[in-house]
Amino acid sequence: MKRILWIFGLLLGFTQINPSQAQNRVLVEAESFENTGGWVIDQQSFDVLYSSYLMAHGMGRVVKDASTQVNFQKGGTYHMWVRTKDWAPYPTGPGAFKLTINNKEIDQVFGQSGIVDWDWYYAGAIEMMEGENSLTAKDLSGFNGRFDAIYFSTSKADKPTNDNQELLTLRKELLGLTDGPEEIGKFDLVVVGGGMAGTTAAISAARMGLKVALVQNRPVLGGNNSSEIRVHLMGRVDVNHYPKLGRIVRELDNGDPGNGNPDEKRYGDDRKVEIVKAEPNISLHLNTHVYAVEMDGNSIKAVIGRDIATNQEYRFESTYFSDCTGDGTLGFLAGAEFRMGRESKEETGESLAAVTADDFTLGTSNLWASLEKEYASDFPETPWALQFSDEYHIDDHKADWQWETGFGNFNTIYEAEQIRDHNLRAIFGNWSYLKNQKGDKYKYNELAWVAYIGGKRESRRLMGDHVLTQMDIQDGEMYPDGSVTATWTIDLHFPDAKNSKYFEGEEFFAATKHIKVQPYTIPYRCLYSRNIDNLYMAGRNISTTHVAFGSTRVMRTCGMMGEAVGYAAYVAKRNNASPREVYTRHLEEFMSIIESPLNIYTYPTLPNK
Amino acid sequence: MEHNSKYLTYGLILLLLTLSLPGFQGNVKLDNKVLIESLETDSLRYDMYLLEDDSGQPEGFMAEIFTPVCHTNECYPVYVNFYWDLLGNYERYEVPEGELLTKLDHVPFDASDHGKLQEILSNENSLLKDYKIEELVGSTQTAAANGVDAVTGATLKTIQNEVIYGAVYSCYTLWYLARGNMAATAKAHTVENSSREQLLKFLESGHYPYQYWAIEKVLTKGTQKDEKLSTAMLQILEGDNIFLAAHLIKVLPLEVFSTLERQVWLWETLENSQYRLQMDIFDKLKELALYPEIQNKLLIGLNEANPAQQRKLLAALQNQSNLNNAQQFLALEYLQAGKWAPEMTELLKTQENLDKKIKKQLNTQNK
Repeated sequence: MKRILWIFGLLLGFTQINPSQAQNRVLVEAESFENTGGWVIDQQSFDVLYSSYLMAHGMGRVVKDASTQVNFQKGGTYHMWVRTKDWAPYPTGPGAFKLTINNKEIDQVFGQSGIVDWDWYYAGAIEMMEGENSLTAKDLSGFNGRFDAIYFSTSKADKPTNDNQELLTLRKELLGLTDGPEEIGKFDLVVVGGGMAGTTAAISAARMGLKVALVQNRPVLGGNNSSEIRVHLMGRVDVNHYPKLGRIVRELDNGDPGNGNPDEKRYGDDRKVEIVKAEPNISLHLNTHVYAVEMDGNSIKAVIGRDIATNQEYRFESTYFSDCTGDGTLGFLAGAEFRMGRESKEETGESLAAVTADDFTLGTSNLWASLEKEYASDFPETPWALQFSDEYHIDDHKADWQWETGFGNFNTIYEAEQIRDHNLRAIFGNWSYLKNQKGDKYKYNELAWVAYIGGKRESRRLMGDHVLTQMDIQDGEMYPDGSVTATWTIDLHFPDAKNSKYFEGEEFFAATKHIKVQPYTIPYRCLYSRNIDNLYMAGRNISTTHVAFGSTRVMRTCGMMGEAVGYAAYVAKRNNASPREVYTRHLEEFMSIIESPLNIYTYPTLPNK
Repeated sequence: MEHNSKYLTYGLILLLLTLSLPGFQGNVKLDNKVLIESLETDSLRYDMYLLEDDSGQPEGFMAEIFTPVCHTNECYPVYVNFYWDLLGNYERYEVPEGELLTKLDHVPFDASDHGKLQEILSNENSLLKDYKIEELVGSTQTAAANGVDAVTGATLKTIQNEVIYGAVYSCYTLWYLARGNMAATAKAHTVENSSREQLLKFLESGHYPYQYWAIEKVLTKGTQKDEKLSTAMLQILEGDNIFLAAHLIKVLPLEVFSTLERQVWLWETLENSQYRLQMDIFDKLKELALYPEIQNKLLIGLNEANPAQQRKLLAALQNQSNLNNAQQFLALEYLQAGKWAPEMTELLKTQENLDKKIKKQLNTQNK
């Protein structure tokens, strides 16, 4: 019997409203379906919904059913609600799906209400059997219909709350998570986020002998460079001031397939996981989203992660932590100082800064690609998507970095779902135009792949003891703790002018100006939090201004930050020091390792297993 | 040697054929093209023509161009014919028979090079406009010598999509020619000779540059009262170009929709329109003094609309202070059913002739 899939609850004493009525309640989380069929698990809005959900991402082709067994302790008549939304209500979206219970189809079609907000939709009274009942979700369009959970109650008045925070409490109660998370253990370093920076941080620390947990909220490592997002690695590792840095990045580098290559294998998901799994000091936790912290004064004591499918919760205790989430999620939860958006010229003195500070961030890409086939194919009209004409459309068979939504029109963290959906409406609307109006050029092309995980460029930047600026970069300032060499241009995207003309305020196509830089070196003080005593960071969320971030954000550079953090955590651990004390008291030791880990220490012997 | 002489012979025959062809076809063509400008300088030579269709109506412009393209003391001649529409928008190019476009080392353009060049020349927002030619050639040579350098790599890569490798100078020169003085001459010629008939033709052309231009002309001249012109404009709202339709509904003066007939037509158009255009038409309705027939549509339409549409409908209703009795009672009915209560209360309160019974009811509710 699966604890997570069913809960039998008595409402007696649970609420003051209905003290006289006892009722049976069962919550089924969509992402916990035993067989997800062709549906995908989406955790990108976890920090809003406190849950993942299932989505029928079929690029216009109906996906295979998702199904599960649900155990009811008592049979009888239950009222049923489905938490879903209409993701493209223009006026109604394409995300239609139906539910079947014990092989009987429910009449109602979900996902086309014309209402964009998540809500509980009543699905009628249903006879449930005592014991196992089967539940099936049938996609009707292949265009991203989605649902979060299904709720059964014997009382019709018992519609669950729609407030995400209150719903979290209810979820925990009904999923039996009130006893607390499962203990994973105590580590030297817990790395949250398994993109390039997190993966290299974990490997580098582990190879120095630290006991490391790497916690990643997707089934793959690599983040923007994984096959789920498909952005290629940029920044150089061959002009480093400290040439030994970048070796782990090289190990993970699977060659350059460009952006959005239709061949997923080119991005080397397996290579990355195998390298990590070969490290006996790394405890790897995929599919685990960290959403809570335990603090001890100004230090993080432990983090709590939840499995994005089973909802099982896990607790990781550690001496040091590294925020490699990209969103600065861990720092945010711990109360670390952060900035988001653009500083003003007045504040930073940077010539490239905005005149006034605002919440503008670079956008998020959902890349896509089509392939030429031997047969002609159709693609449906998409009235709910963005519309195009001969006057304006994007005349291309695949995406590159320019396909990007954000730019202050949407918050890259709290509106991640809207951003992804806007990208999908642009992709599908444009593709529909090309297939139906430019058949001569595109009739043999078929969508091969559309990312449903957004490739985020910018979110929070956690503040360290040093904040890297444009002047640091352009003056080539070499600080005593300068460790990671960066080479990318200052590359700050903005909406493409023509795209703005036609989609003002909802741009999805970017342009950029590259400001060339000479190779420069990022100080170690950008890699730890100024106010959380045991928090490192690596990746795009390090301590920089918005302008400097435009250059540090590329993934080989982020990977080298991870390597540096791994070494720093080792020095900290060895000296029982804080990240800051590594700078103030043990800098020479740290810099010697940056020069080469073999410089002062021989490689530690691998522990016996 | 033998082979070479054979090719030479073929070449001569080809050359003769090429030379004789213009003479042969010239008479026919001359009827359909009128020379409007010739130029001859050190760096550019051209004859520019107005092209006419069989009934003698202007159709577009073309120029037969010769320009030497030079790079580091080496020049090669480029013969090319450019075509523009009547407003000087670049359309396409062709290479005159017997001539070739070549890259560095005199390698002739292949079909894909021609496709790429057409793409480059058509892109009015090309990055070429932001660069000096020296910058482009410098960077491309660096790329050839050193491979793609990651420090400057991104810049290089961006530009490489905008030029043909080995023909950077040609791309650059031709891109500027396509939207330089000749384009301006073309447009000026059309503006000078524009007439009501031409405006009408432009509106009905389905060619959006003509349509935008003609709409602006009609509206600045204030000739939208001309039934034929306004009908032609309105048909654009029913067309495939969502951007043009959205632009038109925004700029059309309210007087165009002052009759019942036009308002009914607008509502029917709305019902058949794409969602985004529907929302724009709702915004237009908000500014109009509506006939009761349309006010009814708004009130009844609320029931079927999604929340975003409801907001638009309610906004349009808010500006209608002359609802008839039946409409006022429908609003009251909604109010009593708890539907859009604040908006319905506000709507009823702002009525010039509010039914006394309703007034009473509203007053008692307030108490």
